[in-house]
Amino acid sequence: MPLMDQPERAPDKEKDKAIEEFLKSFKIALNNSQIYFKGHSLFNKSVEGLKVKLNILNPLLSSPKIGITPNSLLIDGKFWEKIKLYMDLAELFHRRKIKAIEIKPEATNDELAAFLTKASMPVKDIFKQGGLIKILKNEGVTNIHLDELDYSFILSGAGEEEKDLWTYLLYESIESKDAEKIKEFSDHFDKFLKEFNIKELLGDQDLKEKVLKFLIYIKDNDSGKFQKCMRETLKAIMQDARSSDAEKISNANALLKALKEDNFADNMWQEILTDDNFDPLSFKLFFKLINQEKHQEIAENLAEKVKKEASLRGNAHVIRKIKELFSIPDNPDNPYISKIYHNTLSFLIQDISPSEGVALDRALLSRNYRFILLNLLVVSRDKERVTGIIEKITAQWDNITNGKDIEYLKCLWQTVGDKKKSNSDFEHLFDELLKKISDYVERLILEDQDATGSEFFWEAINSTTFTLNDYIKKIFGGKKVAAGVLKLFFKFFPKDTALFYENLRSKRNDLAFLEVFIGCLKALDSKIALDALIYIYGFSNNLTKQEVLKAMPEMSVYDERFLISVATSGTRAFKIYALNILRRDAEKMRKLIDIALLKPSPFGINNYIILRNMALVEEVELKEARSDLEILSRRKFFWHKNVRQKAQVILRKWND
Amino acid sequence: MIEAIEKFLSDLMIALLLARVYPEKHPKVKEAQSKAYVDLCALFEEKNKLIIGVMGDELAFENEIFFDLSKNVKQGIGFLKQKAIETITFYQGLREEEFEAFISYLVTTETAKKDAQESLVVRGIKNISVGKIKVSGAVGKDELSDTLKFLRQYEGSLDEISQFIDNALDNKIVDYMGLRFSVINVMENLLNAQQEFLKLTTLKRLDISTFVHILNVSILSMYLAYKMGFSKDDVMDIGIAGLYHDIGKLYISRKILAKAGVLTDEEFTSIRSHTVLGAQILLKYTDSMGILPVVVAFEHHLRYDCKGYPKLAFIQKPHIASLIVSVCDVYDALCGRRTYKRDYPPDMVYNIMMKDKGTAFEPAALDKFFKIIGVWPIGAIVALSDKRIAVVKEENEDDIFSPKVEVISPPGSKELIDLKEKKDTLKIDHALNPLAEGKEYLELLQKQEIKQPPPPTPTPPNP
Repeated sequence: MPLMDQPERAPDKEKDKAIEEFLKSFKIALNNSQIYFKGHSLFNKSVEGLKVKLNILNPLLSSPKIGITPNSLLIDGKFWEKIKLYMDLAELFHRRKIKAIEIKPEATNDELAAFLTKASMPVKDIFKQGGLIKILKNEGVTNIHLDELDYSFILSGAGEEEKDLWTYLLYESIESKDAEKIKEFSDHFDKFLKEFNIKELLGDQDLKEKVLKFLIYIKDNDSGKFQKCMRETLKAIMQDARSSDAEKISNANALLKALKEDNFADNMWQEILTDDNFDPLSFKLFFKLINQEKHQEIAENLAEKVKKEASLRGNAHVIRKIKELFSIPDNPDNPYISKIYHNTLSFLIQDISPSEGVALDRALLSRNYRFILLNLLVVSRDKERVTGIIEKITAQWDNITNGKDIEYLKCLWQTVGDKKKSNSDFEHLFDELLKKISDYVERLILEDQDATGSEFFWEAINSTTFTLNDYIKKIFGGKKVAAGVLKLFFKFFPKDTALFYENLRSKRNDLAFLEVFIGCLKALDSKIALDALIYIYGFSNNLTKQEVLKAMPEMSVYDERFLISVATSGTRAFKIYALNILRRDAEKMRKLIDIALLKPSPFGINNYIILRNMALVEEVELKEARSDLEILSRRKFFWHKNVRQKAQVILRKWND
Repeated sequence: MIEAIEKFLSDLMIALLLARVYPEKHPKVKEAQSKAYVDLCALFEEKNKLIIGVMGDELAFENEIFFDLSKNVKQGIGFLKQKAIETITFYQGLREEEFEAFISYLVTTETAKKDAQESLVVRGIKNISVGKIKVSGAVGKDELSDTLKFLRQYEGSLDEISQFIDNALDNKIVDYMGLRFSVINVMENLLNAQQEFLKLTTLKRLDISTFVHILNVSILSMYLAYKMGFSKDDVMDIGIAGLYHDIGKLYISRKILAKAGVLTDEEFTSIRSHTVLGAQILLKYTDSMGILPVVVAFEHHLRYDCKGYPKLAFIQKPHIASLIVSVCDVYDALCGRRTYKRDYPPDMVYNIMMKDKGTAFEPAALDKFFKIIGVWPIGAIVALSDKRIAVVKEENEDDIFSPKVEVISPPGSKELIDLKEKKDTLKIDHALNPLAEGKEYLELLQKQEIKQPPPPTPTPPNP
């Protein structure tokens, strides 16, 4: 068409409006094709409408092709995106592997109808029939052209090789010695190394020489760039060496000729600081790469660098990295070398406080969580919430029991108790939990001789899951017993003492057992425990008797008859014990003094007893007997002289 | 064949996701890897190599595009894109160890800056090769500056985490795998480019969105935990706990929080109970998220000396995780502007917090925090003692008052200065509020960051 006959390009606004109208119409027609069969009046109407819009649009476009991306349409160089209409249309055709649609002006209504009907088929059906292009071809549609989306040619690989480019640059920079070209090449040296990898580089003699030449040149002319390129070279060699054999590593030495010891030190230090992948294997490779005689000096240089950076001593990650590096066994080829670096870097990991390299204390976390649940339980009033919290606490049961957290159980028990009192709705809410606690603590007390902190539960627990025999076995079966076990036994089996005493008697020769037993009974401080002590006294030797009497003053209960009997018939030491206990009760003491201790006898028949008892009275300072002593101090007759005198001596002493 | 390939890709993506979330030797990871490997071996019976393409967000094989599968495995495709992998070729003879090593590599934190193929070689993976789609014609790439890239990632994280928080508030299921995945991404961004990502947390914002605060606290907590030497798993757990630390507050009427005037006693009690409320909400999610979020939500206002709130019937010293979040929470709150208070300059924040060292704050955590954040955080716009304006670029851990700064004004005087080395002659005088007197300099900075020259492409030789 001659230029002057071509319509002027419409202003963009008009074109955009026409495109939008067309797209709306397109969407409506597609929707209708899904709802109505081909030939339905409504569908036909929408096809006609679409044709009308097309006729308006086509003259306005410079290209009739509609490009399809996953979520937008490309029409006349502009992307139509972000609006649902455009995105839906794009997705519909993208899913059908269509990347472009061209509807020619000559397309008939029938062709449009066929296209719309087929395009709106389910995706699976379309592909089963060989794709939309094939389907339209079979339908005889010639004025609607589709481009298929096909990545296969891309995936099979095509494109420029960039290696030649880099080689060219390398050669250019060396030959020309152009500062700009050298700068550009050195700035991208790492990319060059990636393209070739070290194996290729070393394998190509010419290339290797050129690279060396380049490195030597920049070493003399630009030390900063030289450092950078050498670091990249060393890194590339080490990375390649990880999957290469030893021979290739030694070849790589050729490239490293230009490096001095301080360069190596610098490189190694930077790798330790910045490269997460610098691991023990990298360290080993480093040893291998460099000639043995250089290591001492490299290490010394490294030490200097490290010492300058004092702040690193607090850097948890550097410390961890260094520890990891030294976790490998000594280099079997040359253990001496590992030692050099070990000494160099080890000062960094000296004096590390325990907080370096910390871990989240999960056990403590679990404990805090349990107490949080307890605190939430305290403040919760809603039954459902309380039930939920109890469930959570129960879920922590294993943690509680593994840690033998009796303190927690005590707090829980008390809280639950308070909760029950506060609301009648909670009467039986905690029964299961309380039973669980009770059973656990009882078991703990029975099985763990060292259930520290369980004293609270001696009173709290109200039922047992064990039998009498279980308890008897526990008490008398081992080498020692705990107070808690005895306490619970007396609580749950108060009437079954016969078996208890029978077993206790059988232990009369086990002095060590009895000593501990006595201590437990003392701790229990109850009538029943006292009875047991008296029973032990009855069958024991003097040593054990003494232990019994030693225990009794620390108890709040005592047996008057027993003590009076000991005070009157026991050994001197025993009498003293008995007196010291009895004196707690003035009335009882009075009774003892009256009936036994200092009771005068006719003609002094028992004066020797009285004298003996006065010695006791004097020793224990039994001032309750003062009045009796005064009577004795005034006794007449010569047969009472000793008694009289002794009484006076004691009284004088007390009066002083 | 196509179905078999699709199945293999599906299993491969599942293995990737699990390897990302669970530790390497976890049985679930091993099982998933084995399953995918078996699929692959079956394919090798028909073909001696398999080339998979990553075209945008879609996986392709020859002329087949896996639309549906690609929609469902976006996260897995994300791993490949992160490493700039556009094609993967699996060769017959691939051993299971190589396959496992490949999966482990894909979920590592190495980014596109490291060549993917090189990374495979280093790991001894010989029967898998990866690469980019090679197209003819050199195309100059116009890359976004790192700052903008991280800003997008930060804002993307913001969208994601707001969804996870909303789900918990609405008593819906929280997708723990998705959450962990999001936090992993945040953490990896943080670890790969600490300066850039941290800068985003100290960015002054006009929006006082609580989600911004939550994300900041999470990021700062992870950073502090990382620097204190915690393992990555622990860091991640702390990050998740940080995200949820204020969930109780979100429950409470926004009217109360946004109120400019003085709160009534009742309103004040509501705010303080947010720790209890938060713990109660999070109790529902202990099966998926564990107990750490509950503990941190409850304890983060307790204080180091246990004199904070809530008042407890049973007092336990707060866990270190709570103490870490507490430091970061207070710091971010002091730095930010709220309806009820102005934002404080960085040095004032430092002084306020240091006063409470050993009482409100755990001493080691607080010290470490300011060592790594500095008194003048990265991104802060500051006035130097010689009247020039600079932006803080990097901290000096051994001198928290003297970071490295870059001069931005007067124009043409661009210079990088390590103030530690100029202690006697130059120092920071004060910070400029980027929402007020520092605004023009912030705009200047932002313009500089967007405008970045493209990397030079080598001139091809004349044929």
